[in-house]
Amino acid sequence: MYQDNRQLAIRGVIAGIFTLTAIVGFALYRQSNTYAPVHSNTTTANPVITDPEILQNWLPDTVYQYTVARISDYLVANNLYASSLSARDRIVNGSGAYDFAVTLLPQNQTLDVSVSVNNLQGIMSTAVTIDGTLQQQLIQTVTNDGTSTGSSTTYTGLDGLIEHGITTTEISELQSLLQKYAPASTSIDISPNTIQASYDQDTGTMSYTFVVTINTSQYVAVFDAISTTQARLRIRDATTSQQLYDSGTVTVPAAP
Amino acid sequence: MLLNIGIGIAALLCAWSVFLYLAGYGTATIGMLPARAVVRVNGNLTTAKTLRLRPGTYTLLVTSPLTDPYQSTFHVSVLAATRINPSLQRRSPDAIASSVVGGIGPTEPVALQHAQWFDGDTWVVGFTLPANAPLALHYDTTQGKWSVAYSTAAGYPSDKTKLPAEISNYITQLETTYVPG
Repeated sequence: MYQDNRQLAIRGVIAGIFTLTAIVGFALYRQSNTYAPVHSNTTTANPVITDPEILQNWLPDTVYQYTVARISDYLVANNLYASSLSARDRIVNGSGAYDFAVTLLPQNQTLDVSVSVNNLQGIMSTAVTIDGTLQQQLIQTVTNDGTSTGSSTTYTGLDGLIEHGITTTEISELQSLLQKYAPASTSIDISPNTIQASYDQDTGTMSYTFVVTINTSQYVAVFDAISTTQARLRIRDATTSQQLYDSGTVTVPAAP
Repeated sequence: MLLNIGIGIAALLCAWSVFLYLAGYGTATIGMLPARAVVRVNGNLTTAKTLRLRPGTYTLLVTSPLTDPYQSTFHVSVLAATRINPSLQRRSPDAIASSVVGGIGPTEPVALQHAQWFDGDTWVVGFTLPANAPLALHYDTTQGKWSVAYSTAAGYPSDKTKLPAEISNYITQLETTYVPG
């Protein structure tokens, strides 16, 4: 009797181990998808745009940034938070404006956005209407040579990167890419104690990894300065390590 | 007896899940991409032409300065190879002009009329309403950017002599045919 019970218990344990391994294996399988949809586990008023190129196909860069900033403002003003934001369908070259819709995920809520661009003698101004409400009065945003006329973001901690050998041209590119990720940001703080620099001789890439706080949210950023002519910025959620942004490789403008 | 069957099923499930974890991939190969194409799979940027993917349905987005955004979904099965040939269309002249100049005058979206392509699609020339003003846009293959090469609007280059002859000729033709006065 005792022997039977013992064998039964052993078999039960074996079945349990197999079952547990199957469950863990399957869970790991589901989790290990490199190309899982881009999203953050946390919702924010500054969600990552999963397909920015759809909008950038029609909108000049600074108009795009201004539009994203107004969408972010709208989310804050209406207590709407999302993990990601996606352009829906294509831009319609409407009457007096570029019309398109964006979808907030995961709630699948749609915002109708209209962007009016006023170009007078090469100087562009932008007005953004969301769900029929003008978000802000026309303001000057950029001249046709690409010079921005207004930036309200305060940067701190850039000195730490300079101490690690980053050039001023690369700093400008880093700021530009951070601004692209978070155009509505009011403060961007790089934590000097977290900066780690490494050099890859094969590719000529200097990589700077650091913790960056954008407004109140903390992220881990990796900035690659590639052969002094190209750069790439990747941003991860500091808590979940989920990748939120990848600029791709961009060309760094030559120093004046 | 039942427990033995349970052990057998659990062992099979275990083997299957380990197999899935280690080898549960399919491949998707993306062909025919233009220079400077940006490829996103489920929103993730990738530079790989052949992707090793878990089974499932994925969204593909291909954009480039010379083509309209291409968006589609594709399915990948375990151990199966999928080939995707995006049917990329030449980028809309309206979109190119809009992304460069934003607007015409006060809040008028850009529409390029009688647009004509030149020099391997690196030039597009037409005229914009309502003033029927010629606009020439040039794609710099080094920078990967479009810019205004000729426009009669203030603030933009307006010297036709600096343009290639065929571009200059077409602008003259547009001005003769469509520009009033």
